[in-house]
Amino acid sequence: MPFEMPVEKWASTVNEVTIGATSEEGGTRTSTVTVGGDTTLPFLDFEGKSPNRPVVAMEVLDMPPDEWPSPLEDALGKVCRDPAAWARMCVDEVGADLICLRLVGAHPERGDRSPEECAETVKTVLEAVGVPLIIWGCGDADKDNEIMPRCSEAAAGENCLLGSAVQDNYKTITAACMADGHKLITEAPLDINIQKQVNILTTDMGLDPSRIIMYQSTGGLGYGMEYAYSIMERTRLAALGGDKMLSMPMLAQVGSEAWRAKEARAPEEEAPQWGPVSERGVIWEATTANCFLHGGTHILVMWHPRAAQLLRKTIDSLVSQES
Amino acid sequence: MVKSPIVVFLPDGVCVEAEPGQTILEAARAAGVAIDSTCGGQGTCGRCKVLITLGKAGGQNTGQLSPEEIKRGMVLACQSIIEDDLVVEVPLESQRSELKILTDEGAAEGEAGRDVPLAQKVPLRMDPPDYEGGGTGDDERLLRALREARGEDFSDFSIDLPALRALPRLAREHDWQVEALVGDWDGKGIIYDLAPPTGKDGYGLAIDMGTTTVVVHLIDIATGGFVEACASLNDQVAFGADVISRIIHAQEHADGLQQLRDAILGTINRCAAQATERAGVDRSEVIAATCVGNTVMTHLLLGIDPSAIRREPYVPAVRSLPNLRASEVGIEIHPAAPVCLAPCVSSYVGGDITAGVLASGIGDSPRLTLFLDLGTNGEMVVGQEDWLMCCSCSAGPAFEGSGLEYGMYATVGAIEKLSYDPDADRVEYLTIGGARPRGLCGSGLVDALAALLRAGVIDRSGRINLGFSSPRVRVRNERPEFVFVWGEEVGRADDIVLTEDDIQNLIRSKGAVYAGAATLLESLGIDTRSIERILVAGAFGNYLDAENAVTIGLLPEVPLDRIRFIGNTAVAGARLCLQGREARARTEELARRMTNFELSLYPGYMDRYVSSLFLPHTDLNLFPVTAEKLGLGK
Repeated sequence: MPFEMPVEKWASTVNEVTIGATSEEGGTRTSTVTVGGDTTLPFLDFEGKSPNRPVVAMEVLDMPPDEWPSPLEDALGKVCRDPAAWARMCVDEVGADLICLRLVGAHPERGDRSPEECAETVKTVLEAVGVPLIIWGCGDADKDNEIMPRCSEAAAGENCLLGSAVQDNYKTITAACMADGHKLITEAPLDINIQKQVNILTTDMGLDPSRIIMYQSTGGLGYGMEYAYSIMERTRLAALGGDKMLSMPMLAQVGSEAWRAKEARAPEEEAPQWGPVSERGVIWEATTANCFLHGGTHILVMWHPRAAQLLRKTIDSLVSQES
Repeated sequence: MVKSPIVVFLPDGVCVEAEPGQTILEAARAAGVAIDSTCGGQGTCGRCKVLITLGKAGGQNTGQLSPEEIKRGMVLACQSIIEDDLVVEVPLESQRSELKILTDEGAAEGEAGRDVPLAQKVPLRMDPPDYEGGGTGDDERLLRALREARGEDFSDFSIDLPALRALPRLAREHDWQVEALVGDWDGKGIIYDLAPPTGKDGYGLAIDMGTTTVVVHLIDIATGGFVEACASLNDQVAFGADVISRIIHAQEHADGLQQLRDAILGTINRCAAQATERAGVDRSEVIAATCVGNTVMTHLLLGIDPSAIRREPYVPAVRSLPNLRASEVGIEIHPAAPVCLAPCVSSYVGGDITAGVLASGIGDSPRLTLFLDLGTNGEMVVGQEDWLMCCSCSAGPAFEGSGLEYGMYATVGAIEKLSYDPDADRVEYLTIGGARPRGLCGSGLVDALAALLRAGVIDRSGRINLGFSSPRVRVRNERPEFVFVWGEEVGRADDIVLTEDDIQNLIRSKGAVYAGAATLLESLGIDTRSIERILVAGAFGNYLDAENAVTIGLLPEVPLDRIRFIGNTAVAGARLCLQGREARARTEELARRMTNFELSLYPGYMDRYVSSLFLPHTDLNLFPVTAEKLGLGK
């Protein structure tokens, strides 16, 4: 009996979102990134179309972490005190599609950097690379409300992706985003309902849903990855089923979450049975990324250059040549 | 031919063609616009004040209006003759609020009828002893008299020892006329005391033991009539706000169970004392009591260890009990009086719900009904005459006014109805008893939340928009809040506000209730649209605005005429049980018939709960009419 591939017919499509603006579009980017537009579940090209490849963003911090496991120190130690150089390396050597600049130095308990300093960092990175930029605050609500409008203004016209709007603090960043022509990350704590609620709250302010990327929170391998995966899968199914408030493309913070695992970080003398530390964390990050790729993530934010390269290889092998 | 004048009534927007010489009040009645009036249109009660915003009416003003009101264009609707086209605004205080349905109407629906009350005073004329009687004892002649008087009501009789002790002397002193206090023990009539003939009626207590609030009604047993009521905060609140923390208290302290029993008894006895005192009734004249409460409250009242309720597989120690005596329970009425406790269904659906289902009559109706009793626990029952399913969720005491800065129980001075006009920045409200406002009760809180959402003061997650241009929006102690009543306007030192935390509290409560109801319905495969009526019970006040309750997503969206607020059905059911054996038997039957649904075992509940923590709900497809009205989801 001949096998017939079962094909599901979906009612709706994931939104298509473009990040970055070239000089024709009023910005200074040399390239832009478009994600989403899918009419089926991830990589089911026999069933529908996924017109845009998942993309790899490299994370750049405005201030290096106090303590880094040796593989990250080895790979990034030379550039990690200079965000511009770090971003350049990610583009030139890793081929990053986007740079995700995280302004951790603004946190009151870290560098407590001023809005002006943060805006300056944004400008520096924009000048250093031509790829589109994700600009993420420090996570302290009050401080983010000070720095993000300034950073947004400094990048006006560049069509950046700003993060993040959460349920308890969404107004300032949404207003900034609308004023300066950026895209917005809406964030929820691994809860599909809260994700939808944040999307509603921000769009109720007048933001077009087509300007939103969702960040559902990420759990690294061994630390809630399957939970995050299933939420992404449910979100994708909701989008294809026609839920307009869950139809935005998704982002995952793979690098920072994967490298929190002790299995990724522990030096060999502490855990000799786990094998060489130089490989372990990279594989941990790449495996986490691989999982979220299958869950339907559109933008994967990575840390280690080799993990990012492994991810890119996976994407290449999964995405059919025509698309 | 002269054209009839047209009258438009605001805010309803109802338009009516008036007949010549009609008063505004008459035209309003003809148009179905509810305007308050208690003097029969004599112009003396002053309740039918309306504002004429366009046109002019004939007639006389009376002394019921202040010069300022007259200047504003206020008239009494009953004294104003319609001569020309008019636009009339009916202010909130003149809109007739629905009267208490609390007990009477709720009771009427059950149709259980009055047959054999739990206890009754039966005046008896005994035969005096003589030689022909063959040496019959006083007891036999007492029973013979009782059999003649009430033989149809009971299958068997007996006499308690204290009554026997009193019998010989009492009968002889009063020329063989005595009053027997007869309790009904499942068809057996027990004479538990004797009294000299007084001709006075006996009284009964209907007691609703709520987790947060205790309500006691004093009832004339012979007529079933209401005499007096008293409500109080449950003293057990000192040991925890919800039943779980009380179970923990009972477990973790050596005398914890006794403390909790003393607390509930203290509350009941205090209420009973107040009600009897106010009615001028001696407590020994109270000859029966019915108690309804959730399963944990029932255990705690009786001093029965409730700890198994909290442990898998969540079973109570007792569900159904025979009649007890007041002295053994600890209720301070006639010590030998029967006390009947309504049977429980499960660990979290108790006798208050059995009684409520009885009073609401849903078990007798062919109509598919969703019944919700909103207290600290939100219990819901769905079904009709052939089947009933029930479940319980932890709603918290927010709608009882507890845990909110200016929340209060539905009693005198509570704002039970309000509206907010953002353009004029004006809040209109009604308080229970027309008293100076002290806070907001459940129905007022529902209105408040809906009004803030409609005006755009809060976003759909209940956060206050600090950019809203009104002095009522402010930040105090670093928390945003909205001022409903300025203290200086009503002679208070402080303003009556709703804080953002209060709002979150209310949203959690309404979310739990909605999610519970939605999960129960889904598990049965019932579409909300097929529900023929929603009956809402609880201590909201005298009035619950159905539209506002749907607007905030407390109730599922159905056509508004399917929603009815029926007051405190627990106490209504307790009254029915006091009055009739059939009602008592029905509660047993209903408790057995209701199938319990365990929400905690249903994986979808938490998901539904979180999606309900939004106004009206995260999924607007469930609230299409509300969304349209609020202009959402476009």
